[in-house]
Amino acid sequence: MKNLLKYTLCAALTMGFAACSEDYLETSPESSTTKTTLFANPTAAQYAVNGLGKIMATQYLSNLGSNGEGTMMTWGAEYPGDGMQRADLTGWAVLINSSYIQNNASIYMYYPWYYYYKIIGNANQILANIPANAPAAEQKEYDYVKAQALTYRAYSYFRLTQSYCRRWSDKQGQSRGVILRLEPTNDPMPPSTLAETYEQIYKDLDEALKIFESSSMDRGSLTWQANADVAHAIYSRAALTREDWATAVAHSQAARKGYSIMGASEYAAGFNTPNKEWIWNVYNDDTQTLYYYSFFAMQGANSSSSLCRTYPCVISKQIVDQVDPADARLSIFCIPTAEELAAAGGAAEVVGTGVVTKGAFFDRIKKDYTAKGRLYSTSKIAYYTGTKFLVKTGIGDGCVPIFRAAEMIYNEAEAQFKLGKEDAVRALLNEATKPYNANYNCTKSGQDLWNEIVALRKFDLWGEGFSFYDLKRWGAKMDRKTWKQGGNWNTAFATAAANAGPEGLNNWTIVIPIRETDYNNLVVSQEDPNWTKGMR
Amino acid sequence: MNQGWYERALPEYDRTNVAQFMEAEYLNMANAFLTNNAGKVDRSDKQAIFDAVTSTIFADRLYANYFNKNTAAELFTLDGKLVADAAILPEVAEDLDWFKQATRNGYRQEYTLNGAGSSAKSDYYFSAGYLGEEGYMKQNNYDRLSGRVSVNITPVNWMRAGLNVAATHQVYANLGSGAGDGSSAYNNPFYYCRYMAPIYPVHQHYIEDATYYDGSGNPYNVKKGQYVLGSDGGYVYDNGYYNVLDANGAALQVNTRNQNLDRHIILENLLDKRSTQRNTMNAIGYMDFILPFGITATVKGNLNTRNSVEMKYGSAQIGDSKGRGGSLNQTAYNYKNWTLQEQLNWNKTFGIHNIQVLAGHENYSNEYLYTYIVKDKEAFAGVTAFDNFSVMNSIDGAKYMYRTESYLGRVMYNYNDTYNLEASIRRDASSRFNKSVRWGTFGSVGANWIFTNEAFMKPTASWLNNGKLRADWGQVGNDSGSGYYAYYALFAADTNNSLPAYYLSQNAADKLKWETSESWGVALETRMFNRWNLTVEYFDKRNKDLIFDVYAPLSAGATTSSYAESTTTMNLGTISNHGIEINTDFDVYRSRDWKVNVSANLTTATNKIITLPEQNNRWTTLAADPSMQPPRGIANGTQFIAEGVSRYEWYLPHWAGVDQMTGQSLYDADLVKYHIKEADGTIVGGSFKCNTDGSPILENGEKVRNSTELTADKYVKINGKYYVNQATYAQKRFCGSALPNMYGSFGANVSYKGLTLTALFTYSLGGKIYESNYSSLMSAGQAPQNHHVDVLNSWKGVPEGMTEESADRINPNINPEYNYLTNTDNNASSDRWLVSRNYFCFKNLNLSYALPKSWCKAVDCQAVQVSVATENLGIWGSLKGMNPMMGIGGGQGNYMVPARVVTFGLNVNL
Repeated sequence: MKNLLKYTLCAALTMGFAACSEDYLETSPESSTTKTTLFANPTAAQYAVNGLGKIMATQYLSNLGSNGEGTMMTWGAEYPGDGMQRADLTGWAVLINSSYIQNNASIYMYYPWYYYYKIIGNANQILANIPANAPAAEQKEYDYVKAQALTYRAYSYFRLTQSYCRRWSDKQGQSRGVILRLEPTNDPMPPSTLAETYEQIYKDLDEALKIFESSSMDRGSLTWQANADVAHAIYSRAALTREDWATAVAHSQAARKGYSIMGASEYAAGFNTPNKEWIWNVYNDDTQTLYYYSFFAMQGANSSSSLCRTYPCVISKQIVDQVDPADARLSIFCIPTAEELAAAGGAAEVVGTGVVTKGAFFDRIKKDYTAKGRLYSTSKIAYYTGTKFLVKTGIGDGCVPIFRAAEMIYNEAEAQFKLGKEDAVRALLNEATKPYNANYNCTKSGQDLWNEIVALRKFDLWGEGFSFYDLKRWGAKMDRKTWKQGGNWNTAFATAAANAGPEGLNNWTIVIPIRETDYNNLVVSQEDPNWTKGMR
Repeated sequence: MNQGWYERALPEYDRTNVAQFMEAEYLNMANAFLTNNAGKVDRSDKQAIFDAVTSTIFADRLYANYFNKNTAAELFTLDGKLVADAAILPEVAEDLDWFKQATRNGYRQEYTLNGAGSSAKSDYYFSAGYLGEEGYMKQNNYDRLSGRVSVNITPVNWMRAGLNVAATHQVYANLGSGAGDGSSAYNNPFYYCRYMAPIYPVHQHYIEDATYYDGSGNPYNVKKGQYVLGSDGGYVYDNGYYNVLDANGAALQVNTRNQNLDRHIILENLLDKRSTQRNTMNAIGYMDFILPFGITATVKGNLNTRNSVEMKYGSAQIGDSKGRGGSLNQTAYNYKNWTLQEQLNWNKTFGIHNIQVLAGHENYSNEYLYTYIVKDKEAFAGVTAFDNFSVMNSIDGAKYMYRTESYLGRVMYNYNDTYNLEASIRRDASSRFNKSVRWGTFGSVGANWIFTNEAFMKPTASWLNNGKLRADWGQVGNDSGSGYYAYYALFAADTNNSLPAYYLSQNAADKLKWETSESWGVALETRMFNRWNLTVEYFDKRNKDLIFDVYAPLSAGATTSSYAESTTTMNLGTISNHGIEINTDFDVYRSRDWKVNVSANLTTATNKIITLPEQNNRWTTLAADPSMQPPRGIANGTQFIAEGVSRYEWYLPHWAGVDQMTGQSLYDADLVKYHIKEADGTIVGGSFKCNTDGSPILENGEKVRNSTELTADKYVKINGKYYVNQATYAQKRFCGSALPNMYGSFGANVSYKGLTLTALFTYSLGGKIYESNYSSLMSAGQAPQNHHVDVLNSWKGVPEGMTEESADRINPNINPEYNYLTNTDNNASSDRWLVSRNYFCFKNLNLSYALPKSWCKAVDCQAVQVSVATENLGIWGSLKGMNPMMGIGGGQGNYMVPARVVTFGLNVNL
């Protein structure tokens, strides 16, 4: 009996030696998900497209200000441009004066590469993993997912060319392009030409537009998702930059169909909520706050962030001086009257950008802007402070516009001008301006008309992420004048080097980041002065 | 029972004092002014520079002027020195030491009680303990209560069983993220205090004589330097500005500091509350069945649970949570892991032969649940319960599971206590790997020979007391370098506009398999003259199929939002770590009362990458000058992984020195990726395209150029050599390993009767540290920060007689011009920041005294021991402030520095 017990116990124990069931080791994640789950049906696949939208509003790289698309506007376009100035932020002169442009290890220079290739990598995952021959009803939904992914990819490649490639006209597209990845791969790959990159952008957009049309599906009220209008808008901006005027005209018109100019009251409402003019935007609200990283914590006039309180965003006096004083949009800027300025000793007495702490101008702004919540209670006040962007909630929550109808009008105007159609240009400028200034009527022609397009565009799109890229497209020199020279720029930003134009600053082309070249031996940071296809 | 006190054992870096700081800032501003006005203002125009600097240094850069001079023009001489009688006003001057106000003397107390007992059929053991620590950073506290109970029983002669339960309850306060974790976070006191400019006080002081108005419009006068008083009449911590009202009642913000605005490490530490409560329970139970024929069967189970809840309260007044009106985070982890082992043991002795055989099976499972909850907007300050917060911020949660399964077998054989042989084999499977590659097989063999037991060794027995020769080889599997779901492509869960949103967070690694740690060694262990122990061992430890996150080009798409890198986890080649280890000790003197023993330990180690996978080891370019041929392998930040060098081999641009004509740093030009076209058309440097085996690619019989032209604006040719200032165009090269060549310790032990004194010294030789703290302290930032005093030894103008052709035009003994506008390239990452890792440390000095037995008896004890122990009495490295004992990878950060500890102990044995 004793032995029986003993051996039974022993046998039971030995049973334990048998392998556990097969799936003992089959664990699967319960926070992230796998490819199989995510692309199992079109509803789930749409989650991956939503992910592309989310990538545009996420905190990145543990670096304040890295918030996705908004960063491209602030760091990419506005700081190095000549429209918006961060009052007296001289410590950042290196970025503001584009001195980092040949630094292949600087976060400011690799951020666009990091951020847009993150979108491209995810878009490629979607394109590679959604099926091509599902049952018809399902396939239609998959195609809609595909069209959105193509739109994001086209946008990202276009944005990359703006930073890392030379101007189209420099070599008619035969200069170095980018690494054109169309599938999820991670091998070294040589750069394409700029022309090839544009061909792909066009191709993706053509296909997306075809599907958007045939699928008859749309985004409803979710303006942060991509649809045909967005594809047209990207086409418009890309074609304009590629100097493909007729294409730019066609897509500028198509993109703004169904959208109209917001008008004075909405213009002053803070640019944080989609309205009838917005074609595409980044989504952000208090349920997914980015705190001090967010766009509005960088550019929101009423943000409590120390950056916004201490270094207000100021519009270039040179832009304002060209605007008809009757224009309603001027009311969102803290523009000193001649008397106020004279009382403080005139332009000669202004220090730096023009931050003031007392006087008539100061008192008026405190009353008309600070007290009304357009500036934070302890925000510094500078001449020409802009209050275009207002925080919706928290430190910097709010949606950020990417495309709106006005830009499409200016894009078309620019293209029509190049095509010699000045009547059309004048009509377009009236269309864009009359909602804010009923008496506006453009009668200019020739170079004056061109200057008018530029002036109105710079004013209307101020702070929205255009300045540097517009100057680059135009091949124009930076134009920053100090107070003594008739502008309102801090001398640290109005240096000869900053105003030198593209030639002085590596053709305004950022070198390819070391994070690419270290692992992709088929490309180097600096483009050869005589670069041709086949070179690194 | 132990009582201990501690303080920082390492001195701080040599940072600038007030006068040095002001002079460095003057230099910084002057150089920036010259950069902005290149070609317009000459360096010799001291007046123009003086006017420009003095008109902006306070207004634009430093903000507060606490000096006894009201303007910068009165404060500085034309040469940028402080005037002789310049001083910070006394009320401010006494308030400038941030480290001092953030730290205190640490205190540690520990009490333990344990007991044991046994009877014929059972035995038991228990212990209980308390540990309390107050860190030397204020508000850092740690408390631990622990207990353990163990019972073994033998109810019948064929069965044994036991249970061992240990539990702890721990509370950490303010030891959360940021506090000395190496980061450059505002809530890390080592970062905050180290870089705080020496002119900024801890508390608010008025920066000028002025008249302000209270809420009712009544004026009041303040004096420069005077403490700003709070509503309670006390001093106010300076968050970077104070708000006052002007005559019209309008709010004015007066900035007091252009650094760390709205952040204050001391105040935040006071207001914010971070505390983690952790409960752990560990239970081990076993049953042994003693079967016939020498067989024992064992079942053993081990269950570990750990629950930890971190509550993090952020004040609405200042800090990370200010903009959210205060916040409360709760991070909870629920861990459960268990192991179940079944073993069969066979132990048999036949005369002088003994054989032991073991067969076993083991399951391991580890799962945990993670929950993260945040609410914002406090009702009342300092109340740290969720009910006190009114805005829901987020709830996140995840569940993770990791499992392994193993089979093992082992045979041990012993012959006459002289020969020992051992062999084992095991099969392990991990849930981290794909089904087809989940199982790994690992073996080991070992033998040793106690040769002094042999008859032929009799003649030497008089002096050779004991001698043993051993050799072993073994393998162990390792999967910890990979994620829990390493083989999947993963998409992270998020939401956008309340809709599910997923994006790629991990690339698939479906071929990833076990990393194998393989080691072999031979050793000789001896004891001689009955007083000298000596062990000499040669070892070679290899990591095969090393699990490693291999980088892809960034254009492949980054899989993280924290770093700009695209990675895939892969098995990567073989690394060897081999060397000699010597351990020895010697009884110098021994008598009835006296014992003097000295000991030493020395290890030499050579780390080397033996093989890399073929795809990471291809030729990619052929340098025109073969001596410049770049290595093949994987760039890894400031290091490079290549065959033949160590795993932690620095790979950095070579800093040649300062161009004394311009004050800019010069680095050797990268003449592999780039080539230079001389005026006469000759091409210098560059590279050619090649096949993966290194043979040149030919077109029409000609090599094809693979390099890009470096245009004349990007380089400078000095005395026949090419240099660049922009690090982008600098050539990287190997510049030594981060690992030491030799390390060890030596010590002595002296005892007289019950009194024992021991001392231990440790040392390390060889290897280099990348001194990123020094590099940061040498950099000129966008905003002011403290500097290393070495910035004053920087270029200040073209030396007399220096020309472009001078042989000594490049000076490696000074620092480049101090200028925030040119800082990025001048102080770029290079071999300039590598510092020797050598150190010597007086690690321990302990004194203990065991009271004479007779005294103990008098108080009814068996033994009583009192002791004093000290730790880290001194650390000597190659740079003051640097911690040379830091991190194997060779970096430095703003870490908590080692503590010097003094502990008093009392041990009573009843």
